[in-house]
Amino acid sequence: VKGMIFKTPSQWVTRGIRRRLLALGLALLALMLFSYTIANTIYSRGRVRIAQSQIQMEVATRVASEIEGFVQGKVTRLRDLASAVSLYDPGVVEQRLLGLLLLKNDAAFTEIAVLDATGKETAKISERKVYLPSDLAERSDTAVFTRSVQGDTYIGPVYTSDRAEPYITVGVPIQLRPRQVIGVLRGEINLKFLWQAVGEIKFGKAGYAYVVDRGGGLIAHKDASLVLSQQDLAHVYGVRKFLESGGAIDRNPAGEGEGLRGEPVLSTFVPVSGLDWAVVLEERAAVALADLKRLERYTLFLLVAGLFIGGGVIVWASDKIARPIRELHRGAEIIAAGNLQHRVAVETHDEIADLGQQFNRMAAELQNSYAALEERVAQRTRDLSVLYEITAAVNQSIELEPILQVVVRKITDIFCSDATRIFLFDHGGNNVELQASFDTRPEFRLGVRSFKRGQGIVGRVAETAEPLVFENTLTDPRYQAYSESRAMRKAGYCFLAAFPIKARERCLGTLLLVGQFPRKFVLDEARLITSVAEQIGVAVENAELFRAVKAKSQELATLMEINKDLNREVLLPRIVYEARHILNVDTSIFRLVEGENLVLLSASEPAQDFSVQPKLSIHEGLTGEVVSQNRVVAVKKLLENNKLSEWQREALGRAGYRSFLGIPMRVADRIIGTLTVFSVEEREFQAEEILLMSAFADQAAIAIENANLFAEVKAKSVELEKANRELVEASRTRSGFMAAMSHELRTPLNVIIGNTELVQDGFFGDVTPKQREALDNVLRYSQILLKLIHNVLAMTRLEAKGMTMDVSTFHLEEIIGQVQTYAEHLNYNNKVELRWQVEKNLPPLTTDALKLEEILQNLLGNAFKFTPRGGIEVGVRDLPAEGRIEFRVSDTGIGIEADVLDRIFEEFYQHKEAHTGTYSGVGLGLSIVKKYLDLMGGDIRVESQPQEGSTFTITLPYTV
Amino acid sequence: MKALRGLFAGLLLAVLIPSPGQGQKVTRIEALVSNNQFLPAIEGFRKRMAELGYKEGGSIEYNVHNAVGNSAALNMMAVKIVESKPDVIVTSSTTATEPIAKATAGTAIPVVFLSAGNPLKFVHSYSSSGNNLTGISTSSIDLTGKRMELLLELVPGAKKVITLHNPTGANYKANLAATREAGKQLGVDLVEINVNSRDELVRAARARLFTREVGDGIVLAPDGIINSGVDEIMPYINREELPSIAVNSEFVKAGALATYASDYFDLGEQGAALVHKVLSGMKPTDLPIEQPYKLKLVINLKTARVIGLKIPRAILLRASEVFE
Repeated sequence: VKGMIFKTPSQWVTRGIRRRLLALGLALLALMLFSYTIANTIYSRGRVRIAQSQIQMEVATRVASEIEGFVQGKVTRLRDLASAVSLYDPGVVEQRLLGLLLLKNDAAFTEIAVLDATGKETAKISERKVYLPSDLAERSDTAVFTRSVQGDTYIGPVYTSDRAEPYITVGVPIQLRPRQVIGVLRGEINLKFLWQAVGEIKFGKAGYAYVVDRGGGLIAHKDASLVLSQQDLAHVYGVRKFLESGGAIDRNPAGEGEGLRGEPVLSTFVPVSGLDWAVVLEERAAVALADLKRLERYTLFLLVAGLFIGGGVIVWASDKIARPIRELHRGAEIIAAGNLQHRVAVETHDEIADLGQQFNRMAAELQNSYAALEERVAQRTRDLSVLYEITAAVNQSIELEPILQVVVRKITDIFCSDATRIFLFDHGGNNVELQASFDTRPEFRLGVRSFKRGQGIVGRVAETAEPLVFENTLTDPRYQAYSESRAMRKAGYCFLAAFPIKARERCLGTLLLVGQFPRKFVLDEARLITSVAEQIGVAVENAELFRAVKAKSQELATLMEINKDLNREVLLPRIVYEARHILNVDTSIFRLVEGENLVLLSASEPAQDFSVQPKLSIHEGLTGEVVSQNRVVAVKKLLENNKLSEWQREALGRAGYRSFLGIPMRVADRIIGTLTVFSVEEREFQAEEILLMSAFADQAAIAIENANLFAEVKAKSVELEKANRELVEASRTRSGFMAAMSHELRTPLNVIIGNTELVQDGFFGDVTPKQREALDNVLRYSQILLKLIHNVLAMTRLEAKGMTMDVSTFHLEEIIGQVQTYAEHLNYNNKVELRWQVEKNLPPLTTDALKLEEILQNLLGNAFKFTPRGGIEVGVRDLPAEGRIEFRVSDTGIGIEADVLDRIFEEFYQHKEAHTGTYSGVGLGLSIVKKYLDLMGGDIRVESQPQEGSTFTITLPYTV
Repeated sequence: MKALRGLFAGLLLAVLIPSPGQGQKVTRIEALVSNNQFLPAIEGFRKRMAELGYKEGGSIEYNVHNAVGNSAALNMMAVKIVESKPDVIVTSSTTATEPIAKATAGTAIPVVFLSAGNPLKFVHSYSSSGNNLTGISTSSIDLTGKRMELLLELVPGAKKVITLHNPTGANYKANLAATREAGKQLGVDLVEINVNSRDELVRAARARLFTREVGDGIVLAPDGIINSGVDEIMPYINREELPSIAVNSEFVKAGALATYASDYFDLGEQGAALVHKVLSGMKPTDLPIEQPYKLKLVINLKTARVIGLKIPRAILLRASEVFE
């Protein structure tokens, strides 16, 4: 896998030792440093917490004392006022003045009321309100009175005024002397001043204080908005501690919890003596513990630094220990890379040094083993090279002979023999015959070229498919036993090795190596020769297969080729020629079935004395049997066949034919003829040969049929061509005639129209109304006639010369003006209502203006022609999205039936009533329109309902 | 060498210390008053802001706009101020706050009014404005009764009291209701005189509408138009020996006999704390409308002498401030 590093076991071991040393050292170091850091942090936290709690307790106590002082101060002031008030009779001006002075001098007081011993207000003054004597009321049931009249000081709960400010009510007794209460003095104290006092309290870096009552309500805070929002603070950590304390002191000063603003704080509370309130101090934990955090960061830095320094020392120490091991590892890597001379040098004088020496010894042994292995590999490489060369030679060609020539030469060279020979079985497999031979000494060339199966050493090896090796024929007793001729020894060869040539377990022949001198033949050589012989076997088999494939493909090509020929004159001789060559016979004959006879069509090279009969009966002889019995007839011994008549036997015998094959030629199960072949050599036709011949006969039959059809079609084509030429000529003549006739008709008609107009205009004297009416009729019908002639002329021109265009750029208004004049002319008697809907500012057109005018005239002419009453509407509009102009001619005429809608553009097509004379015309108008539009890139569509009317819509591009 | 060292040190300082224009954001506060009488509120505000650490020319910049009694100019100034998108807008008086409240409606520009006689005209309640405004109620209208009570204390036996009103004024209805309520409560007849402009006010003074024949004393109303003409009408009033109760100590200093009201300078200082909270990130809607920390009884003894009135000792004892 690309990118992966594979390590040898030694790498793992070496690195593992170092890693373990490192890990252990670092773990111990980290444990030590972490333990120290944690202990130090815990200790520091404790110290900081104690310091924080001391500060908070100190500040909270001071603040509580100040608040107590504030309230007590107000109570004292009220008591002083009570003492002063007691000197005056209830309700006198002085009492009021004293109250007003208190309001002036102490802004915390906003209202003062003096109550007599019965609870009735005798004086009431306010900072903001006007109190008149009539406003004084009975207050004996109020808590402030009932408590204060007992001689106690009353401090009420905190309440909020209509202006959202906190107040408390304070009541003190008015006494003449101790325990003689003559009334009660009530004061309303605005605690907003307490807010200021509390708001100014700061401690630490961001510490602040606030005051809460026993209900968890906020009484004072530097942020008045918090007080006025009257939140329930029971969930705030410091407040919760106070509510849960039951009036006791804070047992967990500077504890951490959620603060007033929802963030973690260090909080302490101190109850305000005598008021059921508590001062709560908070400082954001992040700020309060900032020094601690810094200390922790510093400690962490020291920890990391310690880890780095300690880690460095451990790395150095572990490296010192692992270095000799790394040296061994490096040596192993070098040796693994192929340098077997390398030796390691470890001089630690310990066990690792011993290991190094053993390693060096092992390397030396490895070097020796590797050298031996290399020698074996070289030998194997040589063998493979030989095999490769032989294989390459075998694969160079599929022609056997040159392959074998090359192979024997190479074997001689490679195995250092004096001669090499290859014997292969003949076609019948009875003999092995010499196919290729190479001799280094031509004078010793072997005379024997063929051995029977099992004969001699060559024949024996070919038969048994077992090799025979004689290292010295002079001494080897087996040679005496196996060899029949001793030819080898006589030729001077002492060494002989014969190996079977095999392919797919079939023995094909013998490979023979001979040498002049005795030699040892080692097992590797035998194995290599066996492989070479197998390669030769492959080559032989390939060559056989190639021959077979080649023959087969030639046959198939013949079959395919025969079918391509359509010329009978060529086809017939070819069929008999190919039939003769397919089976390699001497004569082939092709006959065609005609009724009860077989007629000779073609014959190939019959024997000199053999006369082929031009006609045979299908009930006669072997050829007749092919047809009458619809089967293949194959006869090995022709002359002995009893179906031959005497004269046939005689004639065939004279010609020397011995075997016969007759094949029926079929086309779709119909026999059209026979293909018969004769062989001078007596032979039995094999099934494959008969199958091949049958296929050929079928192909030939199809080819004959095709040739017949082709001849027939060809004859028809000639006839059609002739007829077509005649038609073209006739059409041209008709067009010429029509053009000439139209021209000749138009000239006098123009004279008629011109003169009629002159008469009508009074050129030849006055015209009576009746004459004028008659002249109008003459002119009108002349115009219609002229239009008809014009259309005929246009069509004939189109047919004769094709169409051309006279393109120009013009404004549609000109054309529409012309068409409007034409339409008015047609509507001379106002029989229909004619409406025009032409858009303004139509773009100019670049096309053939006259043709467009003619198109519109034709459409209008048709509309008038087929609209006896009702209306005709002509619409012209721009289609900018398509870049075209649309023209529409709608009428309320007789309409067109749906089944003829697609025929109205055909030449000379006319409405069915046209032939009755009701609607005159020649049926060319729409045909011309269609042709013009095709030329001008336009299109036309028609929508029509019988008896309701038709709408012809054409569109033309801005530019043709 | 020393010179080189000095140059180097200077360059280093120039690089290290950012100039105010570069690094520090300058908070811009636009202040709008309808009349000169409210300028002490702005002074008190600036003084307390400086004490809170906002140094002018450093972290804060003030632009004070004074409409000098011109209501059209006031409206125009209000629009311009809001268009300039300042960090905070500070106003004094209901008259100046109203156009600002209207122009900032729907925006997040915080507005702190240092004084407003009737803040409920533009805030939802005293505990929360419910919008971008917060500030201090002068309690001026609340104290209408106390001021009339003061007049009765100064002029015992007074039966008819002249009251001045501006029907087009921002607090007209509230003023009128409070005045009538006080008159009813204290059992005096009111001579209500309406003026629509400063000119009308002055014309009324010249036409001798403020005399002892018309009333036993005059109580001025907390209204921008009336306030703008106090300086001019006081000589007429004092010439007629008519005891006058003003709506703030500035007018007492200018010649009115007495007042019972909050002090604008004090309100400005109180408002600075609110602006400080706003600049600290609090939203005006979370800051309750505050009441004045202190109300002052102010007496002008000189005027008393001029109009031949002896101030009772009991009142002098109560006075927070006495002009001699």
